[in-house]
Order: sequence, then C-alpha cells, then structure tokens
Amino acid sequence: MFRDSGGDLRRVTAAVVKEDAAWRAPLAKIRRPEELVIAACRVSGFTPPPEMLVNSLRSLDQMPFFAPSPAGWPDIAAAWVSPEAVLRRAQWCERYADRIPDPPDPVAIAEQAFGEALPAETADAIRLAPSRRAGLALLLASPQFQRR
Amino acid sequence: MTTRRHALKLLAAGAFSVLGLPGVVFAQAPGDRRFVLVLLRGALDGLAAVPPIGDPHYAGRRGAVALKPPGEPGGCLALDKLFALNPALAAIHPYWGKGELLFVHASGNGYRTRSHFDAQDLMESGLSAKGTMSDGWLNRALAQLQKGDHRLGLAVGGAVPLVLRGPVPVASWEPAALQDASPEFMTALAQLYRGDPLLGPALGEGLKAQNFSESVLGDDMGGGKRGFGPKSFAPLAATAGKLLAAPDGPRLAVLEMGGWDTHVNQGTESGRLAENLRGLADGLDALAQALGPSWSQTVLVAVTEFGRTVAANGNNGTDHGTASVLFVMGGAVKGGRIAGDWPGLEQLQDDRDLRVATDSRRVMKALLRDHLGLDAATLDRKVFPDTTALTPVSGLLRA
Repeated sequence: MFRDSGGDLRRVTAAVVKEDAAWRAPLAKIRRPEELVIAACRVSGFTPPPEMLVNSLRSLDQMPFFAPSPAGWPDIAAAWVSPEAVLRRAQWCERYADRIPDPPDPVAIAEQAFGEALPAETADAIRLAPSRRAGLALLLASPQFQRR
Repeated sequence: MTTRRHALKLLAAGAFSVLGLPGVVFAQAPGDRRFVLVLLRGALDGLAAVPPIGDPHYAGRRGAVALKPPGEPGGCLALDKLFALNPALAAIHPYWGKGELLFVHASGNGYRTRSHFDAQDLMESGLSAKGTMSDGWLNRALAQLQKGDHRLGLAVGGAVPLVLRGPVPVASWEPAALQDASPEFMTALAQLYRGDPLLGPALGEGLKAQNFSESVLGDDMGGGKRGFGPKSFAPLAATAGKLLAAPDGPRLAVLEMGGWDTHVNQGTESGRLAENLRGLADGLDALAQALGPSWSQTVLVAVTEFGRTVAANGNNGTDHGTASVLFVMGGAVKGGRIAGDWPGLEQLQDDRDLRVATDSRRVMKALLRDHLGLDAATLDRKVFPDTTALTPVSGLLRA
C-alpha cells in the first residue's frame, strides 16, 4: 500500500486502521520484569515499599539502573524467557499475591484487565482457585498477563 | 531482661513487623492463656481426615477415596467405635490418647456457597451472608481483650488474614528466607502454560531443574517426594509456638495452610491429601512442643471453609461439599472424643454432601467464652453479630 500509493501516508494509515488484523492482533510481547511488576501493582491496587520493589526486580534479573549495555534492556522474548527466569517470574507472582494486605476479588480484576479477551481456561482457573491470593497469583502468572 | 533478649533474638531470625505504633511492644503479660486459629484454605475433606469407618455406608459411598479400617496394612488409627484417624495424621494421634485432642465432625460455617473466595471471607468475618466485611471475628474478640499497647494478636506467615484484620492492631511475623512456590500453584500454572509455545517448555524445564517430578507437569499428581508445600507448615508452626511461649509475647495467633483442594487424585493412605495431612500433623505437633509448659494453657482450633463431596468424582478426587471437621487441640482441651451430632452417611445434603450438624461458630464462641473469658452478650452481638440463636457448645474444655 505504501509503495503502490507512492508513499501516501494518509492512505496507508487509513488502510491500516481499516485492516481487521490490526485490531485483533494478540498480545505478542512478553513483559519485561519491570513491566510485569508495574502492571501487577496497577491491577491489584497494591504497591509494596520501594525496597521490596527493588528486591523484586533484582530477583527477576533486572536491577534498576544496571542495564547490561547503553542500549538499555533487551526487548526480545528470548532474553527474558529462560527456564529459570520463567520459574522465578512465577514464584514472584505467588509471593507478591501473598503480600497484598487486602486482596481484591481475582475474578473482578481479571474482568477489568481483560474482559472477554481472557481464554475460558484461564478465567476458570482463576475463578476456581483455592484462595483469593492463589487466584490473583494465577492471574498475574497467566500467559495473557505475562504479555502486553 | 533475659527473656526479652531471647525473644528479640528469635525475632531477628524473621521479619517481625509491628504495624503502626512505635515504642513499646512488650508490656505486661495479659495472662497465660494462648489461643491458636489455623485456617485450612481450599476445603479440607473432613471425611478423609477423620473417617467414620464404622458407618455402614462409608466404604460404599466413598468408593475410590475410602480408607482402610484400623488393623489392616495402611489402615486408619483407632479413635472410637465409629470414627478413626487418617494414618497420615499419626503425629497427632498421641494427643487423642492424652485427652488433648477432640474433633467436631459434621461442622459447617452457617452459609451455603461453593466458592472458595466467598466461603473463606464468610468463615473469617463470622457472618452468615455476604455483605461489607472489612474486619474479622478474631479482631473483634481482641477488641475485648487488648488493653494498652501490648499486641496480643499475631499473624504468622505474611500478610494479616481477614479474620485478624480490623481496628485492633496486631503483630505479624514472616520467615526471612523466601519461600519456594507451592506445588499446588505450579501444577495449576503448568496446566495454563501447556498450550503456550514459549512459556510452556520454559516452565517445564525450569521445574525439572528444581527436581519437581514429571507428574507435576501432567495430569497425574501421584504421591512423590516433592512436598515442600506441606513441609513448609511445620517451621511456621514451630515459630508461632516459640513466640506465643514468650512471657511477654502475643497470645492469639493465626496460621494458614493451603493445598486442600483435592479435585484430582486425592489418594488414600498415600497421595496428595495424605502428604498434606502429614504436613499439618507435623506442624501441630511442632507447635505443641514449642509451646512447652504453656501448652497446658493453650487451645488450638483448625477450621476449613467447607468440606467435600462424599463420593469420589471421575478424577479420583472430590469436589466442593458442605460439612467438614474441626480439630480442637491443646492442654486445656477435654479431648479424646468426637463432639457434636453425627448425621450419618445415609441421608446426604443435596444427595451428595455430608450434612451440617454443628455451626462452627458455636465452637468458636465456646472457646472464646470458656478459655478467654468473653461474655455471652459480646459474643452474640459483637464478635459474631446476630448469632443469639447459636448457643456455645458445652464441655469442650477442662474446668
């Protein structure tokens, strides 16, 4: 479209907006640890004290201000999805959920965060979780929440 | 002075946060009586913990989850003519013999719901129906007991559970070492990651590296050596005991334990539920040991939000039910018996569940009244609002 129209950005933009696939694109990118932590705090309404946040990020291998290169933190999934990293992310989700002083209803939070975009299997697992904290931990660790 | 230093040393091993008021933590001891509430989250199968082996309908109704009677290999431990004890609870069997353990069977919490969240909220708020619940019955009880700065209430393990939340400030303790993820959580997560080409294989590899058995990743739960979930309860319980034993320490503690939601492959004398029961019994025993001489003035009660179906389901597990069992344990308990009426297994609630014969709040009221000295009017109106009709169960404690 860009080539065909000779670089007409207005037509390209209109075409992109009209293209169905653009609106249905699934969540594709794995959240980096700081994105996961921030998203978790936002969705649950609880932000732990700063020391705890820094420790969280350190345990997830993203010590603030200590990016490996001037280019900053990597942006590709492979950098964040090693077996140990995934395990630690899952552990972090459970521990974080255990710390929320007044845990909200996980079903309501899932509804707010995803609405109908949450697959039935994930929604069921959350609804049937053995405790509120377990339900919240599952939501945060779910494949959907791990992505943006 | 020595006792204070000793207590402080213990606390340095964990993070003892005194929420709110600075300054004096330990003041005059309030008295020597201790009370421990253990919340069993996930719906404990009371019929598996304390099976009514002598009930004529037991074996037939329970099918795949039925236990063997005392005397057979892997069989239950004898209690009385009708009831026996799951062999995985062996560590607390001696307390029965000493008269320091009783069970209230067919107990329920006065509400009808199969949602874990709602049921736990109601169990902890002490109400019969959902409403606005921002505080718990134990905090309301503390309002009658706590004078001055000395915090009598203690939440063990992490954040303060609803049952202890409210206007009265409480202390909390959590272990300094970070806990590993629970097997229950990892199993549920592995299931969710199954179809994910990126996270699924990564989690699988990560769990293998941590020595989870292969069975965590599939449908078969099996027994297995992993069990740091159930094994994490005993150290928490032991610490609770030490803190409660301190002459100028807290007096009312709450502990929590999960892993009870056995929908799949519950097992019988071995398996998931057995491992969890073993962890519970080890913890209760450790708590009693840690309390030392104070055990004689202690009452502990363990409660769950509801029970499980009498019959097994298609996955060799059980689903959400109604009545379950309460454990009441302590040196101050008049034990060695099953309290409460037994509705039997012939007539079931909704053709599937054990019927409730005793509202658990009647037990809680009795313990608060007879052990901690709260008066009837306060219990009926403030601690458990609108429960004048629920009379405390008598005869649970020694005079």
